[in-house]
Amino acid sequence: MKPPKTRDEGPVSEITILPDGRVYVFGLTRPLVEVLAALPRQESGWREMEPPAGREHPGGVVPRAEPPP
Amino acid sequence: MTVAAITADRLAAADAHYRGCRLCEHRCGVDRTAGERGPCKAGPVARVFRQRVEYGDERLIAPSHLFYLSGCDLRCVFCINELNAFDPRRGDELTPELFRAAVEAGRPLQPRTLQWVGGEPTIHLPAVLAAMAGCPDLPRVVWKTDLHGTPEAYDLLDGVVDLYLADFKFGNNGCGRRIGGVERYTDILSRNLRLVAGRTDLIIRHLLLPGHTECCYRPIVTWLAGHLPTVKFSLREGYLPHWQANHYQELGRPLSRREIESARRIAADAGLHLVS
Repeated sequence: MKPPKTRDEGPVSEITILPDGRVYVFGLTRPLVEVLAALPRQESGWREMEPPAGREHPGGVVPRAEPPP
Repeated sequence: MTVAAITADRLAAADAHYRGCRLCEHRCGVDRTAGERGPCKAGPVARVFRQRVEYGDERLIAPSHLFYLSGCDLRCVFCINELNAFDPRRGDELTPELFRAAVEAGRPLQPRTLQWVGGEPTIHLPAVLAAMAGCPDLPRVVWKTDLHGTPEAYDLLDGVVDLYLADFKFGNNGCGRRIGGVERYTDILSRNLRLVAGRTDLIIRHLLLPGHTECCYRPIVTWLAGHLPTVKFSLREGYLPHWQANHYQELGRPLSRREIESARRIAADAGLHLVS
């Protein structure tokens, strides 16, 4: 049976912002790390992350990311 | 992981499962090469629906180069990967050539680990071993798994997997059946957790589910405190309704802050070794 036609899932990530301001990220790739690190920093719920290899990213903290279950 | 561990005998033993599959605890025994299909619906070809370096895993393993394989032996109604997880026809065929090229493309980002995820990679164990056999210079190999496999499958991964990243999803067999689609869930998990904990590094993840603190999360914490008190435990608080979750009343919403705070307290009170 032929595989179904599907979109290229490689670059797909998902950012969900809840009404109370919580931010969840599925698929935290390097470009996303840099985008999210530029957001205003919150005091709670954000975790320190090591910067992507070879570069310091602005802010130094990014939202806690949630990989797939 | 040592490539030397992937011997010709091991590859042949793994391949034999395609003709009488006993890789997961469904133990369906189907001949996947003859078109027969078990509950996972997988044939003899593994497919990668996504691969990339990601930064969202536990600090111990991030950044990690993830290879997502389609097809799964569970049927979690809240699965974030939805059809990509359950339809093993999705994605590009996993070949040694594709794998090598992807690994080389990811090297500039200096991933600390290489991670097999799904779906469920255990159902594609033979193809994964074959892909890695030709790559001597890999980072630490992480097996992100529902841990619903057979002891025979884990024997085939000895010396190959450096760290199991194992989900402990449900705290009772009833929830395992209702929202995970499998029987005897906690019986199988408790056996397999003890099995792999004695063999190599292990992080146990639990995705906190709304409305399941008392029936699932608390029993899991209690079991871990009693049987694997020093294991690394990763509490995942990022549940969001996906796939068919909205058909289940308690699963059709995000976690409340109260549920998250309560879960953290429960883990702390039990003295678990939390990692993030």
